Amino acid sequence: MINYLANPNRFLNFIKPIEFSLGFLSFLFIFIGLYLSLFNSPEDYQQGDTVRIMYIHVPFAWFASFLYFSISIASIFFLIWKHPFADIIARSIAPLGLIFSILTILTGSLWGKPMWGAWWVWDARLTSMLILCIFYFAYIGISNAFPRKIDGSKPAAILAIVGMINLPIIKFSVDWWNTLHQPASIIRFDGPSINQEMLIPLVLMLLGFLFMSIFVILINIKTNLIFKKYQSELIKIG
Amino acid sequence: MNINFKNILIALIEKEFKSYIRSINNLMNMIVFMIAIIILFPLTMGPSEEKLTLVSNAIVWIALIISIIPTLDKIYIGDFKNGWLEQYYFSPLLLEIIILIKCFVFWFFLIIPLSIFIPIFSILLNIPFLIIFWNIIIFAIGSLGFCLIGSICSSLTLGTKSNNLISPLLILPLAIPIFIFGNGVVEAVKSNYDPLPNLYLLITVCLILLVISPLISAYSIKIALTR
Repeated sequence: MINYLANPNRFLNFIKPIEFSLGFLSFLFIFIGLYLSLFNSPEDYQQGDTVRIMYIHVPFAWFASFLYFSISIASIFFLIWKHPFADIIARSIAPLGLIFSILTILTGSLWGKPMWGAWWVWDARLTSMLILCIFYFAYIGISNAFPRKIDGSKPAAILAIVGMINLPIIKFSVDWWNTLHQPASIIRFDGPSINQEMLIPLVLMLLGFLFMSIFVILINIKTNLIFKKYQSELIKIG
Repeated sequence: MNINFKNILIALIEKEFKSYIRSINNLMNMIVFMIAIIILFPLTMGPSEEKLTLVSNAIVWIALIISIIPTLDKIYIGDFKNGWLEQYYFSPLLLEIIILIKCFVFWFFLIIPLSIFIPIFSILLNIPFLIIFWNIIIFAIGSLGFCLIGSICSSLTLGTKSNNLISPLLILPLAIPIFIFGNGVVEAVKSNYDPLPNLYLLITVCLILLVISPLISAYSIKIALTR
C-alpha cells in the first residue's frame, strides 16, 4: 500500500475522489461539534462558561503534538529509504503543526487568565508546548535555510527525529511534575474521567480537526508537488 | 609512514590548539560580552542589594550562556570552508572520534577558561562562596554538554545561507535539561538540601549527549560533504 502510494501521480489519482468528502466531513463535524459545545453542553461547576475553550484547546494541542509525531515518522522513512516523497509529506505537515501549536498556546493563555489569574506560567506542560513550537520554527527554518531547497531536507529530518524526545515529555509532564495544568482526563488507564455530555462534542471536534488537518495537508502536498514539477520544467527549458 | 592512533590524536589536538591560540580574538570577544552583560544588569535594575541577591546567580549564568552561544555554532564552519573536514572524513580515524576530540578541545581551550571569571563576577554580585564553588562544578560539567549540543547544531547548519538565526532556536530547546538540573543543584545548596541527586541527573544528561552527539554530528557532516 505504502509502496503503491509512494508514486506522486498514483497518490494524486488516489486522493482526487476522497478530497472533497474529507473537506465536507471536517466542515460537518466541526459545525455540529461547535453547536453542541457552545449551546448544548453543560457548564463546568467551577469554571462556568470558560470551560468551552476546552473544545478547541484540546484538539489544537493534540494535533500539534500528533502532527510533529507524523513529521518525525515521515523523516525516519525519508532517512532510511531516501524517498523524496516522504520529505514532501514532512514539509507539507510542518506549517499546519506550527499554526496548531501557536493556537494551542493562545487559547491556553486565554483560558489561563480567568482560571489561574495569569496569561502564562512557567509550568512543565506549558513550557514543553512552547518548546514544541520552537522545534516547529527550527524545522521550518532549517528546511528553507539552504541555497538549494532540497539540501535542507536531510538536516531538517535529523532535527525532527531529535525533537521527538519532547513528545513524551509533553504527554507525561502533568504526571511527572506538580503542575498548574490539569492532569490527563481523556486517555487514562481507567477510562475517561470527563462527563459524557462534554465528551461527545469534544470527540466530534477531534474528528473534525482530524479530517480538517488531513484535508489541509493533502492540499499542501499537492501544492508542493506542483511546485516541484514546475521547477523541474524550468530546469528542462534552461 | 607511521600511522597509529596516538600520533594522529596528538597531531589533531595540536592543530586544534594552535587554531584556537591564533584566533584568540574569539575568546576576548566572549569575555568582553560577558563583562558588558554583568555591568548592564545592576545598572538597568537599580543597585539595591535585595533585588540583586535574588537574581545574581541567574545573571552570571545568562552572561555565560549568551556569550557562549555565538561561538558554539562555529565549531565546524572554518574547517568546512577550507577543506579540513574532507581530510578528516578520508582519514583512517572514524569521523565520530575526531568530532569527539574536536568537542573536547573546544571545551577545554575555549569554554573552561571562562570559568576563571565565575568567581570574579560572583564576588561583584555578592554570591556566597559555597554557591561559587558549586557554580564552577556545574559549569565544568554542563558546558561539556552544551558544547556537544553546539556540535549537533553547527553540523546541521553547515552550508546554510545564514546560520545566525537558526542556531539559537536549535540550541536552546535541546539545552533545557542542563539548565533545569544545574539550577536544581544551586537551589538545593541555597536551601540546605542534598545537591547530589540533581548533579547526578546533570551528569546523566551530559553522558547521554556524549554518546548521541558524535553520531548525529558525524551523520550530518557526511550529508553536508556529499551535498
